[in-house]
Amino acid sequence: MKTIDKLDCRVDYCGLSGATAFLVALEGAKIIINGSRYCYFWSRQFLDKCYKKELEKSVFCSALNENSIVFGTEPLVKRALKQLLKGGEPQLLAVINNCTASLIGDDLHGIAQEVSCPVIFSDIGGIQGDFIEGYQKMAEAYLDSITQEKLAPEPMTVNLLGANKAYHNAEYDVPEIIQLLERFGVKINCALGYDFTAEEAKSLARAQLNIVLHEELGLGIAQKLENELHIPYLVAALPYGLEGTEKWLLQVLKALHVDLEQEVKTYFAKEKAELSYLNARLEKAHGELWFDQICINARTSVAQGLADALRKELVNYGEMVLNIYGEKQVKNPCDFEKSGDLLLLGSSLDYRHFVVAKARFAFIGISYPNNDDVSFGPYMGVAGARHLLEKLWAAKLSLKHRGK
Amino acid sequence: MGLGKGCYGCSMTGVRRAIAFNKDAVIVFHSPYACGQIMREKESNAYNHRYEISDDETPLVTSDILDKDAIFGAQDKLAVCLEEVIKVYNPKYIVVANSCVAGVIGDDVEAICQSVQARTNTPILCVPCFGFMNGGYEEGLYQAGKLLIDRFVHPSEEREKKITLVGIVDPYKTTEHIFTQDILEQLGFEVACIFPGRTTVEEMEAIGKSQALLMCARFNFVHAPYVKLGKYLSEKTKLPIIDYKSDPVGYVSTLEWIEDLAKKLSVSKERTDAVLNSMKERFTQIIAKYKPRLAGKKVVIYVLRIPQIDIKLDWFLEILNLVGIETLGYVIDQRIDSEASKKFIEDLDLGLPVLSEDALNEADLVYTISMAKYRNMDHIPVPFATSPFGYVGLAVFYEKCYRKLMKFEHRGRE
Repeated sequence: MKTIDKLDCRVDYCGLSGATAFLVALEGAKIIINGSRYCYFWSRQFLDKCYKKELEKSVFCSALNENSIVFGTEPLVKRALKQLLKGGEPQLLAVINNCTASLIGDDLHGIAQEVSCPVIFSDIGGIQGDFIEGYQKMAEAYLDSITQEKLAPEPMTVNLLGANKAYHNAEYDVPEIIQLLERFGVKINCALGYDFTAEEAKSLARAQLNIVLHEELGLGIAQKLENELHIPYLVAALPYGLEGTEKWLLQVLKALHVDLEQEVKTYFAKEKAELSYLNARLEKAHGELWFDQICINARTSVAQGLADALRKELVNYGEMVLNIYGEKQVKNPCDFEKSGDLLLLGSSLDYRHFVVAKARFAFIGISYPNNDDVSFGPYMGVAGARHLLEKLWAAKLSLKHRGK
Repeated sequence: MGLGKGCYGCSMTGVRRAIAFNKDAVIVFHSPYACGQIMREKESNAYNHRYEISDDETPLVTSDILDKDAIFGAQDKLAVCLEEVIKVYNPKYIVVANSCVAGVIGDDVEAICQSVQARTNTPILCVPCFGFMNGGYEEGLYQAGKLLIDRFVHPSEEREKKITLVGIVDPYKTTEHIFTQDILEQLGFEVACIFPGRTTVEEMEAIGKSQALLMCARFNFVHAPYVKLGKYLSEKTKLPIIDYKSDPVGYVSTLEWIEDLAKKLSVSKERTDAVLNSMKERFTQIIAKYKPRLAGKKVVIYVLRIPQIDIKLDWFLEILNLVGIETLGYVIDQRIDSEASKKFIEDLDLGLPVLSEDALNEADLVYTISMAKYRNMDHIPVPFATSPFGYVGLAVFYEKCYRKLMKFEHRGRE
């Protein structure tokens, strides 16, 4: 059986990227990465792509050199701070040590005296953890640095946790979910870690419920907020597919103690009927939407949510394998030598392996980095279900004439 | 960003570039695992416009240094990693690149590599650089190449009609390689290998039998380590290095380049003339194809940013003139310091006037210098960093100009 080499580690971005990804979502925040230029440039390049803009005015670098190891990093951090302050004082300053700086162990707290805004110091490099750990650590450090307003929870008001533009397609998925919630009268108080202000972050207690979108990213924060602010939280399978989205929405409304079941069912019945009709026409023309093997490579919440939607409502298939990003080895290899139609949902790193293995496959990009597929719409929610089905059919049809 | 001068790159990336497509090898990054992700993503980006996806890619594994290893060291972890790599991949050799973390922790990586090598009989080459320390990207690239030379390359009395290319990484999409290989074949030579980035152990052991070394990638940002490697390889093998003053770009310099190369390889006059005639024919065909489409078009050179390397653009004017494109002059971006731009224009010495920004709208095409930050703009970058080599590169460049003009013709310009 020809498979991906088992030592091709399912790696993920480092904690520094995760921490920075959380903070660039905060309006007015500026970050100094206390580390080498290379780490800075690669974090920046990744996040610039995710946020679709250059973050040079938000993220700065101390540019460690060899002398820093001996003499310390403070002068370089101060130099970066001077550069940062040319653009005006930020609303929040974070100084994040990368691996090397954290090993050097400088005490940089004196920097806080040079600005009047709140300052967060943190050691979050690749040796401290991966993207998820970095994100969570920074989120917790940020929440600890602010004082929550004492507010009474407002009905039908929620915070969205565990969402970030560093997740593939988030810039389409999250607005789609927000739109769906608002359609049923739910108000978003704060999308913490996705796109938020300091005022919103200080008024988390206004929410009746915390909705955790990506569990691996948001559960820790939700638990913290439950302990400290007594805000209940909901973790549910991601809203992929129409049935998946309907189920997710009903769970949210139930957690908000609102009975809109009939309205929701009516709305989704109409959507399902329409999509079912379109699907039936395509099946009549091209045969069943069938793949002999489906391989899904993504972070936990995405992989499991998509697997559920594909399995229960979107496609028929012979076998499905899941590989979770962050796990150190490929546990469930795809069998390239099996004949038939193979569908890969993953990143361009997975795509390359399949090309090299000369597999006959179709590809849908669902994880970063993605240079081999294009998506201009959501995969979650109602519009997402249509878009996903469209992509699945396009994948199927691309294999139809490719030959064996 | 105001970071000042100093090291930009990481030596591990330099090592990776040096050992990019060596099938016999495995690269081990003694680093946190995210460093491997960075490398993979960097390559994933490159695959779409520079490299062809192939199964020649050297596997990359990381030793996964964690926080707790800062106290006890990560040497044992590296040893386990090396042994596992040997078990799974059975490589002919391993190259170990070290991260800054390994340097700060103080692991004796060299000792571990030697110990595992002695136990397993697999050559393990340890690059003496640590992340951004000890010279960064260029030093990592050079040291990796030097280790390969020390280990596998030997001088030889025997000679084959082969040339070793120094400096190219991917052969499939690089016009330099496609063109160079074609010319060498016409002159009666084969390419022995591309050193250090695409070569097997067998090929490295046979480098000594080449006729000469040919320096490639002459005018790009990271040429310096390849020049050093070329010199070192030449000293080891006693082979001559063929280098040239300028890239074969445009008609005149391509023919001069071929003639110069043929002379250095002691090719007969008859054969050289045949190759030159064949080249003239190819150029004539390409110019005949594109001249009807491009002649009479007016263009400007828009200086968006002054390059960090010295450049000459005589070849650029020549290739535009060949198809009848008229270059109106320069437009200088307002953000550039006037003294700096004046010096830049003087150094280019093309005899073109500086025009106002209105010229950008009046021209049929705009070629920009240093476009990387401004990808939204509908211009064509002047390819000074990776020149359009010979007839191959010329055809690619003209096609780009033609397609841009077609776009404007069908949709208009904003």
